[in-house]
Amino acid sequence: MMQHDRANEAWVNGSLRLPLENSPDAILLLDSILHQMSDAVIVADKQYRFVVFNPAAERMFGVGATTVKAEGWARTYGLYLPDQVTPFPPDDLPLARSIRGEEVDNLEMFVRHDKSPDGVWIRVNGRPLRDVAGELAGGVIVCRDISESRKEDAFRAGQGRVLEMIARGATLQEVLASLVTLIEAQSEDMLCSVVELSEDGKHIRHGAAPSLPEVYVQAVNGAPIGPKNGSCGTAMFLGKQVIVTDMLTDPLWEDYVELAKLSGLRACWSTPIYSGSGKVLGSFAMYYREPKTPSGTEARLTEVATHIAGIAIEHQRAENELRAREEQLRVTQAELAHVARVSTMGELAASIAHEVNQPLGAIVGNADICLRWLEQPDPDLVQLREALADISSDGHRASQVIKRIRSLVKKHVPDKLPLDFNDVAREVVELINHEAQRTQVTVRSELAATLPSVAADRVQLQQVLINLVMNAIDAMNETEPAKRELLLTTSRSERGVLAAVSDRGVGIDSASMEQIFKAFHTTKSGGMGMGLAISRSIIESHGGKLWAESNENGGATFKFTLPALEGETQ
Amino acid sequence: MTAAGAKTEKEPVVIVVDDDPSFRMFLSRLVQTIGLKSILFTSAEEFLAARQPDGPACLVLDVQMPGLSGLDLQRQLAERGRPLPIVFTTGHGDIPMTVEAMKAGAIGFLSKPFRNQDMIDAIKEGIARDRESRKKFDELIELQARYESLTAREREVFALVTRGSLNKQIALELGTSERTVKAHRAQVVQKMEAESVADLVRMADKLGISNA
Repeated sequence: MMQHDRANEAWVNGSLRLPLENSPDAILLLDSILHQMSDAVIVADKQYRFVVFNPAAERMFGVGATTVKAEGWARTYGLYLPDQVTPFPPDDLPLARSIRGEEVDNLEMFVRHDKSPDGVWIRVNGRPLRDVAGELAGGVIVCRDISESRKEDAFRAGQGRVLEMIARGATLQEVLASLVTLIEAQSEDMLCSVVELSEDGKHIRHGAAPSLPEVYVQAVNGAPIGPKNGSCGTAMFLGKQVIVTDMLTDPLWEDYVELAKLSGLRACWSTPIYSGSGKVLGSFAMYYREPKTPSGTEARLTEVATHIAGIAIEHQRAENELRAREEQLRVTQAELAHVARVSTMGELAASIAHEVNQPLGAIVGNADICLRWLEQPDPDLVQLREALADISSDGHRASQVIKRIRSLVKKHVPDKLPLDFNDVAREVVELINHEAQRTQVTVRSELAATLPSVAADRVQLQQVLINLVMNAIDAMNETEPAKRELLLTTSRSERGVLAAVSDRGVGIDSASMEQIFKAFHTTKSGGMGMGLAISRSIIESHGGKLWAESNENGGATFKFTLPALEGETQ
Repeated sequence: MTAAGAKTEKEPVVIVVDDDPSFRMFLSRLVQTIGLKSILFTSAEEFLAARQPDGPACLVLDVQMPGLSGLDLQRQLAERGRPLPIVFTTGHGDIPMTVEAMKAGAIGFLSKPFRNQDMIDAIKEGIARDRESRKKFDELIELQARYESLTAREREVFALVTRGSLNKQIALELGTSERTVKAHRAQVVQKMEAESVADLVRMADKLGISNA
């Protein structure tokens, strides 16, 4: 009673005020509250003697009020800094600070003693107590066990980390392993695993089981699912949770009982993992080394685990599908590019035929002359030799032409190597020379004296440039021959190389400026409408840009940029 | 006819215009095998700038060349009023091109590679045609010279005679005597070296003298 009186007095004079000052009822009420509350309340006077030490405090700190001096509190009550090993320094203890007149807010402390060997986390608030005169009379602390909420916070943070892994594109195995490890950390003696259901929906595929015996993991991987196929196989087959409290006796494990024995596992509770659309993706299982029935906490963990595993697996599958489609798209694009290149070559066919037939004509004719000469009784060997030498050199010439065309027409795996774009420009000018002649177009090229190297695929760049040049030639169909001029320029740009192909043709109206780059947009009767779309995608795949401009004096200019190799801009 | 017939024919020549050196070389070799002379040009412009051949000639012309194309050259020659027979060669000819060339009077249109015999045949035909047209041309020049030698009155008589008018009618038309007309007529026949009225009519036709 004496204690209570003093406590009451301290309270009244301190920061707290009771409505029923000094009444016996008030004291009883206060006493009752102190006894029943779950927070620990400790009051000490200015001589560091405990005045109040409620039952919750006794439970929290293992022993009740003692006469131990403040220096011994940390050892007696098992008080540690948050590192969980350093005894709490006596002067920094919240009660001591309160007695000295300080206010302490939300100080976290770790408490471990014989009765709580795993320790608990507590949060402490402390206030000084003053007498009627306002002099310091002692201090009070209120301590709350925050172990659960800390654990919960840690668990939430763990979930956040796993979700972040998914978002960052970690592999499914890494994600599932982290998830399993996280869940296992929430409960002692519990081992977890995630298995996937194979795409054909008939087999178990290993997902993550970092703590399960290797022999078990291997046996499960690839096992069929079915109505009597262990916990996971059955759960996935039935699409519902399967609780096996003892694997050695449960009929579902009949066929796998030896495996269970070998692995030392006894209880296995498996819960299907669903996709957002309700499809079974896999199963999450909890294992114990002795027979066991689940409780509420495990249900919650299972819910979290299956939810996150579902997201991870679904994400992975979506990613796989996306990749497969991208690959498909890449293949299709490559094929289309090939077709477009061949069709460009088709447009060039006339000039190619000319280039090949020119030497062929001379070869066939000269050979014929030689044969005639040889029919004569006394052929002129000097003349024969000259003619044969011409045949030989024309043969080589024809083969050079064919080689050049082959390199353009054959299917081609892009390979980016350092190159001088001027070389590409010169090759293209040579290739289209005859076409330009045939169509009476004057080709002028103004190439920069030096260009920074670019990392590019030579054949693809040739293709783009041929395409632009052929378009320019076509555009000048209606232009009077004297004015048909095509200008090809190369120059240094801010970041690398700028190439431009100008014509004096019909030009492009501003509304079509972007339309022309769309697939299947064509103004030519024989065109596929793929040329510019493919050209742009090629240039963009090289990190450059391709666009069109109108010329002031009529006609259009197509320009593209290519970034220089690192360190080549200057 | 004596003057024209007395002219000695100049040596026929094959003119090759092709931008491809090895093909030019081959053509000159081929022309040589049939015992003809060839002159080689690398472009139409070069050929136009050179002196035109005196004797019968045949052009062997590449359709596609830098600068003036073979077809352009064909047009220009036609405009100059002295069309030479042309054999076109092409690395890759399309049908419209062939049609245009043939309409404009080409002897042949040979796609490379071709049979040498086809080229030889075409060249021979070209030379023969040119010889023929050259003869006609020379005859015309001769006729024109004779026509130039007629007096104004003789030309009037010439025109009326070839229109089929009788001396009497001519005399009436010209307001002179039939006798004078006869004298003029004799002059015309002699100066034009005609053997008959029919001959005169043919000459008038060649000279393009209007019968209106």
